[in-house]
Amino acid sequence: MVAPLIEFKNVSKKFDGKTVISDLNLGIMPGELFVLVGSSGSGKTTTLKMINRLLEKSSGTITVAGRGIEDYSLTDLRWQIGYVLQQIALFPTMTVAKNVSVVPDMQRVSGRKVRGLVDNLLAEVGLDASFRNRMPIELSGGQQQRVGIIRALAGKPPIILMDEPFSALDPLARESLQKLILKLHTKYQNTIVFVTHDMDEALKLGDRIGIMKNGKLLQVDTPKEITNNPANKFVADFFSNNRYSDLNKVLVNQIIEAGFMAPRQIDEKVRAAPSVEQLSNLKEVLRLLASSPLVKIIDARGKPIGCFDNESIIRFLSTI
Amino acid sequence: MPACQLNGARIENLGVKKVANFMQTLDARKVALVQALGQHLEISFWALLIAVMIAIPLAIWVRRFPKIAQVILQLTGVLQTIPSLALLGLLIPLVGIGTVPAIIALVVYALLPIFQNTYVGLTEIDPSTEEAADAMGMSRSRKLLRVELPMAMPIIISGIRTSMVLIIGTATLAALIGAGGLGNFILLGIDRNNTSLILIGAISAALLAIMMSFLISILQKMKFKYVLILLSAIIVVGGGVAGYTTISQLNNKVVIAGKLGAEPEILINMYRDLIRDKDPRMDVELKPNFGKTSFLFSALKSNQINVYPEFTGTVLETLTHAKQTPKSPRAIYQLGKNQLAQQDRMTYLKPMAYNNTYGIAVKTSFAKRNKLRTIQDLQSVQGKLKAGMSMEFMDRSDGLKLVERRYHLKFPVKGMEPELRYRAIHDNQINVIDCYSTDSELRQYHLTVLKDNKHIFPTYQGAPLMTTKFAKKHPQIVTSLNKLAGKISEKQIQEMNYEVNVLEKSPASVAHHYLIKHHLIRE
Repeated sequence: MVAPLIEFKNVSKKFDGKTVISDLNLGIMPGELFVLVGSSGSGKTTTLKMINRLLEKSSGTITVAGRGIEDYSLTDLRWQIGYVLQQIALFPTMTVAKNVSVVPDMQRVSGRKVRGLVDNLLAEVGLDASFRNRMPIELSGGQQQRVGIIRALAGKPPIILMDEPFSALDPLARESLQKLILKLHTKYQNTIVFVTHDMDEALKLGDRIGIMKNGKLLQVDTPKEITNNPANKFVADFFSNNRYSDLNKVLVNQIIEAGFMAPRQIDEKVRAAPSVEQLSNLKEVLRLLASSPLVKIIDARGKPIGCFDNESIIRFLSTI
Repeated sequence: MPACQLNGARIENLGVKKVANFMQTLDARKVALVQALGQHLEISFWALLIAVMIAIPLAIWVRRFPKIAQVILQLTGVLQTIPSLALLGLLIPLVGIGTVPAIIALVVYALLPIFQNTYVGLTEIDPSTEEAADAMGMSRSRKLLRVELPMAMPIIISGIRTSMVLIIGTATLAALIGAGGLGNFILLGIDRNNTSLILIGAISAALLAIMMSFLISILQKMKFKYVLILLSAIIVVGGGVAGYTTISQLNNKVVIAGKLGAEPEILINMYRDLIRDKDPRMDVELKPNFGKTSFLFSALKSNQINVYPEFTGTVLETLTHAKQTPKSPRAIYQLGKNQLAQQDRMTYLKPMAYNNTYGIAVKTSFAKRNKLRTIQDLQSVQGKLKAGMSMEFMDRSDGLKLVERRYHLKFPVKGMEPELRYRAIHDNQINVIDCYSTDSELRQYHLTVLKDNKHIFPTYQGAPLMTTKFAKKHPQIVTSLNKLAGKISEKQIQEMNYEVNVLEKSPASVAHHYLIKHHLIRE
């Protein structure tokens, strides 16, 4: 059995005598994209910040790769853990390239290597080399957070912490960045701890999801398990209140998970149909179905994995 | 006590003449202006640099303790409310006079804007930016240098700019305590009632402030790294120059200072020429327009200067606080000399001939026509007299009232501005005035000072003053300076003042010419 990369044991945290996290136990596996979800005040951000010691726990132990976090020097610990903030917080006096190379510069990576690294990372998030010498203030919110993400990646950390990274962005930018995160996660296989208050986002991104309330973990499970077997009424309510709250935001993935793919082989008709990705939303599916009897579903590599027809979608809608 | 060193070059300030006059004065004082600009810049630069080196690290240290920061803000605020003159006065007993107290006072004023802006600039950085820097694993010092200071830099530099303008303006007061600079022009202008000089000083200071402010605004737009490099370069060069100056000052040098005005400056130039005539290798430094009596006297005591010319009357009135003033000039000198020797271990060399005191003057032609030689002679023409006198002279108990009582004179008197007095007698609106016996206007308007045959005015004779220790160590300087004893008549000093104040000749050349002409030095 693989040991957890990050492990909380009996961790609690008090602010001014008030307990905000009590007796937290949690293991996050290597290569996992783990989402902590909960309303504000639930303790999810506090939990995240204790990992890289932006906040110090009050009691218990937290280990990273089997070693207590206090056994690392603060710098060593933080160089192993990338960090992406809700406020993005690029350094306003530095160019994009300088921002990205903050950690490699501290690690004394040679200037030539850093240049190559920056160019690669920029390309990875869809920014061309002309962005190198721009200042953060000249970038849109979405572009800034792309830079924020590669700034966290630049030191090649095995772990990345993301604190509500997309909640300040407009829906369009948020959606494309969610896709970007999944793509980068697949590529680099690093362990991501992602904090959000948005259940749709959690379901969309998480390999596993931890639901928090009042400083306690209520349930930790895969999206499917949480959907099908909520641990208690709160989880079920939180989930149903959030789930499908906006039809346009329902994802192809969620429809598949709910079991409403059309029962049909992938034949020539399916291949010829217009396609949606797994992360496309219901709105897109409905738009395509208006002019075509079938819509094919493709995975990240463009391979068809199934299809929707009018009947399957109407059956799905009737369950809501 | 009469301000006995007053020498007014009361130049006519009418219309176009004003501008012409200004240009003429500017041209005549080019060299002095450049020198004063240099001194002004030097004082301002060091004050600013020291203020920056105190205020910025202090703000960096204190930003984590908001309570202490508030206290320091209050304190620097209070310091700034101390009137600059009072502050300079308070510093004299502690650090003496000259450049050092001037710089200290300026630093005190410059602290607040720099400290405040640095503190605000650093504390107003978005906490999320700080968090990002921490999460990247930056050390405190790296975070400070790479993130915080660059972000706060524009506001810090605008604080430095405010301080700099403040410093350049206030530095004009440095002249009061002998630190030189553009304030010399302003003081001299006030002293001589010469608007051109005041304007030159004030305009130059304003232009300097504008120019420096512009330079700093360029700094504001520069990258943090280049600002750091530039600042270090300036510190290294400045430090080198300062070090060199200090070392070169350690040499055995004689420093001669003089009070504000043309007459003392002529005298100290004579002192230098006399000393050099005897020992050409002697290093003599002159500090003209060094300030008022008390500054010079304390500078002498603390060995910041070695010699300065002082008047016998002033010695008794201001320095030794003699209870009774003897009548004869010789007795006044002797009493002053003895008391200085006892109280302060000073050596007061022999005085020159001329007496710089109050006088009663009439046109030379008027004096000849009416055979007037003494004040007493005025009795014969009492009915014809129309007097114009300064308010101060009319008001003083030892002024006009004493003249009327002791010489039994009674004539109509109009109170007038000192400058107008000379013009009015020139235009025959009046025919008798009060004056200082060495005023250059006496020569300019062809006036004669009537002899005070009853010795009612106190005697003010100039003589070199130095510490006894210095006199013993340099007997050859004492011999040289004593050559002036009993020399220089009132007529001669009037003439020399006239050449400097009105003809704009340099005090050095006027002094040299006199010494050559009277065979006091070799050619």
